[in-house]
Amino acid sequence: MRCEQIQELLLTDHLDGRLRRSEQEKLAVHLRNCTTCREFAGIAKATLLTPFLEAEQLTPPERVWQEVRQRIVAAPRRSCNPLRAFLGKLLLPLPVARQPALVCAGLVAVALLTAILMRPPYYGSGPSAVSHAKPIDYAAILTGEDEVDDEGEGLDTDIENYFL
Amino acid sequence: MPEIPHDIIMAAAQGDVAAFETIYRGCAGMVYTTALRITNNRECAAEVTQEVFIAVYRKLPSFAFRSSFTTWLYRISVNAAINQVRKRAMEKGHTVAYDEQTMAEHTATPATDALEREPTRQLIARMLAALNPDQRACIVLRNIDGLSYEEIAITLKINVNTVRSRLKRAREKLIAMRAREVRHAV
Repeated sequence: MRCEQIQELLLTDHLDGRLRRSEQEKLAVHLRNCTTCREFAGIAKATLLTPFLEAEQLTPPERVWQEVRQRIVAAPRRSCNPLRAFLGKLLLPLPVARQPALVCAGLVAVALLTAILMRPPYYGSGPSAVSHAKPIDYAAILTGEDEVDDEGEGLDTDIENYFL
Repeated sequence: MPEIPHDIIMAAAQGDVAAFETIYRGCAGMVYTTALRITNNRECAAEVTQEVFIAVYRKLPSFAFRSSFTTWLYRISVNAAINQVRKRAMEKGHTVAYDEQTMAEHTATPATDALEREPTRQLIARMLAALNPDQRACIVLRNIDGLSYEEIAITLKINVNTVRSRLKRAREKLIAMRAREVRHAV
């Protein structure tokens, strides 16, 4: 490895303890033989790690809490729907309830299933139904009265008139 | 990071202000310190702390415990602080110089210790001041708060390679800055 690559590793993965064993071994071999990189490793550790080890936690001024308190008391949250709160508590332990996308997909699936199952039976009244200009009078067919209806329904051609 | 008991979080989610104050007392230091280190400025940090806790109070009923509460709070704080820096930079048209006095105030340590730590505190302040907000956030999250590259990537919504390259550039800058300071002192 070149010095440039070694120094990049020293600044990142080495400093943050992310080097694999094989990379650590290569780095150690290089550092044994290269004074420049060895010095760079020392500077990086002293400059970039040591000061931050002593970084301390600070406390915000008390007025911050006073302001927060005043604002949350002055504008309380919208009251939660008790049914929703109850369902939330009931379903929270289920992993699926914590995935909004899964919950939505489930609701859509239930709605579709319900729509399919609850659909009213089909009576053929739609536009695709076969329409009859004149309903067939089955009783008339049986009694022979339907022959009367044939009058006047011919093609009205000369040959037809001749025979009739 | 401090851990807050589950029942306290649930009580605060129901609107119990005393329970919410317990959460505030336990976590305000973490939120404020992170905000201060990222924003450069104690007024901004106080403002971020205030906004974060008000937002958390409002969002608590929908908190689903997918991650730990403090991890959730920490992510909100980091992003609120970064947004604050960007907002201020846009308002002023330039980045804000690091307020070196910030670290000297509001510390939780006794006065004598604080005095002894002053040089280190100022050094940290100068180092963070030398970085841009993105680099500063990575250094704060990695070097001070001890997050892994993967955790930083999730918190800042960037990929791990970006975390690595930002840390590299930030550290190169810090080494160069310290080298200049040492040369200047000699």
